[in-house]
Amino acid sequence: MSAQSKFALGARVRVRSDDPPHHHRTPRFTRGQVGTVARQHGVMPLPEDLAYGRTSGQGAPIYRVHFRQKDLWPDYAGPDGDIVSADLHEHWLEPAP
Amino acid sequence: MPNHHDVGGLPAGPIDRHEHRFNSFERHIDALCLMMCSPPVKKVAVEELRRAKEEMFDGPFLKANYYQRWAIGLRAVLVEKGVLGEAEIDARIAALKTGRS
Amino acid sequence: MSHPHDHDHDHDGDHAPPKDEGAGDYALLEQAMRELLIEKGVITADGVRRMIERLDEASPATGARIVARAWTDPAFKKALLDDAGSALSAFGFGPMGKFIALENTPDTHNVIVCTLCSCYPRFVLGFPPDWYKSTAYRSRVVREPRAVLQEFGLDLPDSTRVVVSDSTAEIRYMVVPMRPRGTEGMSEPDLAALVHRDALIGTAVVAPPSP
Repeated sequence: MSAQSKFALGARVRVRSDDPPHHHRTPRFTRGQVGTVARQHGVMPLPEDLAYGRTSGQGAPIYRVHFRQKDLWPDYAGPDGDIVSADLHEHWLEPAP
Repeated sequence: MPNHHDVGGLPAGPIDRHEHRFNSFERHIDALCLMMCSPPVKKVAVEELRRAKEEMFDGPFLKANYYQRWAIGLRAVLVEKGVLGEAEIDARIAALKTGRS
Repeated sequence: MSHPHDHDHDHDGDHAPPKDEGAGDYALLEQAMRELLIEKGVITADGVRRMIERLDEASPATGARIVARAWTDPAFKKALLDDAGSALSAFGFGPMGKFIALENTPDTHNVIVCTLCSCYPRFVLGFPPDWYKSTAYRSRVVREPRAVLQEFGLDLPDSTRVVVSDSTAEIRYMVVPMRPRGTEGMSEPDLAALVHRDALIGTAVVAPPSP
């Protein structure tokens, strides 16, 4: 499964800042943010397809991405190590330096 | 896409931690949605229900609570997919009301 | 599951809390859809009854049994943390899709949320509590988790990393809380009795048994 995944464990990825008009499951607070791939979940169907009754889609790799709280919220009051994760499909991610 | 449902990180007040026992309506609509989304019925995708609820964030939807929104969403998706007709749902509701009064 | 209050207030904390008006209309809408779907042969009355029974039976007691097994059986714990879906099939549950168990340790405290709706590991925890579905919890726990946990009575040291898992996809999460001190030699059922819903969500820890 992971052979199909474009991003390796530990890879740094940036979430696209798109705001498409259709249903999707990429929370606003993650968009445009840089995180780290913490887990590869394999391939799963796209909510962008299923939400409109399209069930024949191939799906796409999906990842658990860790974001540092301090990166998301510059005024975050807790320690540096605190993390939020989200499960995001590959087309929402691009390589980050 | 309306993004009223996408609330992560927005300012909000204290968390109301009252517990409540689910009533008959809540258990029925929950079960009905689950059945429609699960095998062997699987006439609806849970993503369609979510999308329907996200698109309807106005009017009665705003006043509706959690499970009432499920009912509104399920109705919209069943009608959209031609599983049930708008008119037959309304007719049945009217008949049920007459029966009750 | 603890339901100390049986009141019928409209929850979800969404903006303007609705009055009870129209509650009957929604019940009629549900009944109308259900009857029509049965008449058309899409579902059966028996199927509805069985689904409601399944929903009523699902409870945090199931999650508690899983945790007690993980505390007492290192091989099961490893399997659970590696691939919870497969481990639970072996434990007697049916296939349950993608499922991940997150282990709490002195170094890491996990807590789960669904910021986009109300995704919840229902097959092991039952109905989600209203607060889990509330806008307040969903908004704040990803932004100020330590303040939220404090409201729940949990004050974590800075040396413990807080990891908030947002269930944005069809992958469900459950927290495996830390086994409390003073439980050495306790049986699996006795351990399970210590584990409660909020510890499986991560807004609480499991307290040692009262002496």
